Amino acid sequence: MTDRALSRRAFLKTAGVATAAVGLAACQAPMAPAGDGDAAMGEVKELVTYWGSWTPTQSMERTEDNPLPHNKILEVLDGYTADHPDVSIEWIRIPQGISSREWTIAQQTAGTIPHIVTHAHWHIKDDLDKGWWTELTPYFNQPNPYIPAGDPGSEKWLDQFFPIPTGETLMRDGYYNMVFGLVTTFFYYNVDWFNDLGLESPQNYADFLAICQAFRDEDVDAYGGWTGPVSDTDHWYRLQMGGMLMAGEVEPLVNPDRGTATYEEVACAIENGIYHAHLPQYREWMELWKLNVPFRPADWTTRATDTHTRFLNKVEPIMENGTWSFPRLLHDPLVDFEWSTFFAPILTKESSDLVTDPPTPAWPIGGPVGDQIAITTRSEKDGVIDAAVDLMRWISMPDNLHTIQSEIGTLMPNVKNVPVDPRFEEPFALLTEQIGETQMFVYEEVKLDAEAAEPIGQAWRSYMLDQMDLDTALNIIQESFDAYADRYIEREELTC
Amino acid sequence: MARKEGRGERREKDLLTPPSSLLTTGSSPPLQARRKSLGKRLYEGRVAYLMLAPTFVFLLIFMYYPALLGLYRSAFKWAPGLDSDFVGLGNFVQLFTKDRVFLNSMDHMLQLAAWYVVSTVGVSLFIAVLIHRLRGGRVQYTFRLGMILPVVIPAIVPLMLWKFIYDVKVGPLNLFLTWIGLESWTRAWLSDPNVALYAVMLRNFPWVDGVAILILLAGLQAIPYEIVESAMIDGASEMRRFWSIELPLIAGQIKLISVLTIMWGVQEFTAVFAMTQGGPINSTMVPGMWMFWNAFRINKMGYASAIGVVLFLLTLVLTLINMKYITTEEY
Repeated sequence: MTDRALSRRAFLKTAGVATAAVGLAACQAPMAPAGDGDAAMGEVKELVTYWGSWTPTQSMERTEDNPLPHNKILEVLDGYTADHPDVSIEWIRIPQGISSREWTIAQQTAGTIPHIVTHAHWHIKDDLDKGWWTELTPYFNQPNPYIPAGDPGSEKWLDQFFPIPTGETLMRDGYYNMVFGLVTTFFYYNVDWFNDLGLESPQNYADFLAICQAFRDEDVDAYGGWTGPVSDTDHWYRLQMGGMLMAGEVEPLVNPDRGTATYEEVACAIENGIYHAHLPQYREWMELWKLNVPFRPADWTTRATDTHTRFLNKVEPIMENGTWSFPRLLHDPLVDFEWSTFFAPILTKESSDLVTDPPTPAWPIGGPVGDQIAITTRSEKDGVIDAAVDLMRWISMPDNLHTIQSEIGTLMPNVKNVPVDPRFEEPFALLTEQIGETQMFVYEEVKLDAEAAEPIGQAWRSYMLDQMDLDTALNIIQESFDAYADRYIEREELTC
Repeated sequence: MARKEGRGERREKDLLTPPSSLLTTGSSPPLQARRKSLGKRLYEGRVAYLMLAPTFVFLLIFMYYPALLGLYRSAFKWAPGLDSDFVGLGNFVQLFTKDRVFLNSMDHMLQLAAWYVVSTVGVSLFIAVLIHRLRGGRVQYTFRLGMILPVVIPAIVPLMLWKFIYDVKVGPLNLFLTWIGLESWTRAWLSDPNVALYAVMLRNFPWVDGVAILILLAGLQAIPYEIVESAMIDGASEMRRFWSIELPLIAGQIKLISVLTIMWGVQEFTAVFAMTQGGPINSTMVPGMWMFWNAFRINKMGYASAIGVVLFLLTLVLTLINMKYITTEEY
């Protein structure tokens, strides 16, 4: 036999011991057992949470890459656990760059989803038959014990939330998430640059195009903005324009009460031929929208162009963006120019005969979009549903929510009695006192589904990029409308 | 004239001398008598089998099981969290009769795969021959090292770099074109549906593939020098030497690289995902990206599995065609 550093017998012995050790370790429960669906009495209830944009930043130093450092959520959570020693809260981060939706689906499928997670109501809508999300309606109808008597929420937790934006989250007569933040969009513009060219903020779409042309004459791409995924939209103004065109004849038929345009109303309007792609309004919408394409940067078709940087670096004079841009514009050292905002320019008869007279203002985009938090049915299985609901009621306390949101400063609160930043007062009033995005039946991703919104978005862009004629694009859009309506009506067993 | 023993000769000599353990003697027992029972052979090789077992177990769990599950799922309409409905070949029928995006993506994929084969094999072969022709082991080694070093860079880095190179505002490509007076040629390379696919295709210029070069170089170095020498004595030119001797004798390596590149092209996903996400307006959509989109954006897992099965079959067919029609000449 040759000499061996490790004999076969010794190797097998070592491997056997190691395997046994691993086996024993695997048998050891990683945490206190939660019992069969119920946390045992007297045991610590362990909540696992993912807080989305509230998650503490990795550093509290304000830098270019970390423009809004924050960690106040920890203060609020610590306050809760100090009062509730029987609850422990673990909060997690998810890998950067990963889609929150994809991550959620993977975790839900694997059964490893946290008990509390952020998730948008338009995604939850597609999950209703999956049993993933706890219906919150019964809890919403109970009092929030942390609210003083007489204040909104002291009798019914739901009363804490503003009814108009919250109404948009209603599905199958139930609530499946809590929306704590409101957003809307504006056109930010470089006032100094406008002044240099003798321009003023536009009053209507024709003005807007004239301003863009003035910049084009200077060889400047004027219309910068957020380019979302194809299934969403290329700029939110597109949806506002669609709303203005539909307001006269189509909207009263699709959404007679002019309240929230429900999924049922939209699907049935398509099914009954009330809302379709061959309407003159729809054709006009696409034609009018295409007029602004020459004034965009050439790479607008690419998702996530850094429009912020271009606006700050004075490459583009107009940036269509959301309320969340305010803090960055306020804090960024690159801002050495005067900036201001204007709201979506209205469509007038100058642009289209199909608009109302007087013109209908654009719906405010956004609404119940930010800080959407849901409780997963895993919390019921783990016996921590009561703790999860109680924690969310604690966070709903105006002081606690203000502590979290005011540090970040990108959203307006959707909870009553939470102070509102003065610069948001006007949009806040718009979003809480009148119907906005919630009635936007033209918003494909929100009112239809991603499977329909994707081909519709592709058809729009193909037409805008001269890769497809208008009639072909309209036919594809109509096919997608019909397919969606069939899908939704069959799934929900609707009778239109 | 006396000549130093070449590297190829030394290698051939080694290859021609089998290990003594493999030499048979005239007194060997009959085959039947030498064969041991399966149990005995398993017992004798128990250490090796024990060591190999974890690899096979993990292969089964993480490679074969998902693949077989994908095959099974392709016959269902299924979204995570919901019950699945058996649709038979319905997903495949829809793919090939109704799904315009998928059919276009196949076209894009074939263009990409064809270009990858041409560029990978062509450029790598050219460079491998150049290195092979260099005199001096140290020089050859230096160039070989230079070609293989970029392989250690994570694949995502060049993709991000090329995304920057193609940037419409600050990208070096447009700046260069402007600098040399070709401003009219500047483009939003990844945002223009007319050129985006070609931009994805032509990234990584000058398309040097270090691994392919090493494989081809090894093939060239393994050609017995006597063959090359006799051709040269007969007056063969450098080109003739390449076309008539070296190329046929490294057909095996070329076939290997072609097969790998075809598989790579058919399964293309990373570059498209990182650079364009299949856009603009699906002009760079490839089946891999479309499979991802169906699986994770709209949860049509059964449909996505059907795309996966089509990709698998396509890879298999192209590989078989390659193996059948590119013959290898042994020496």
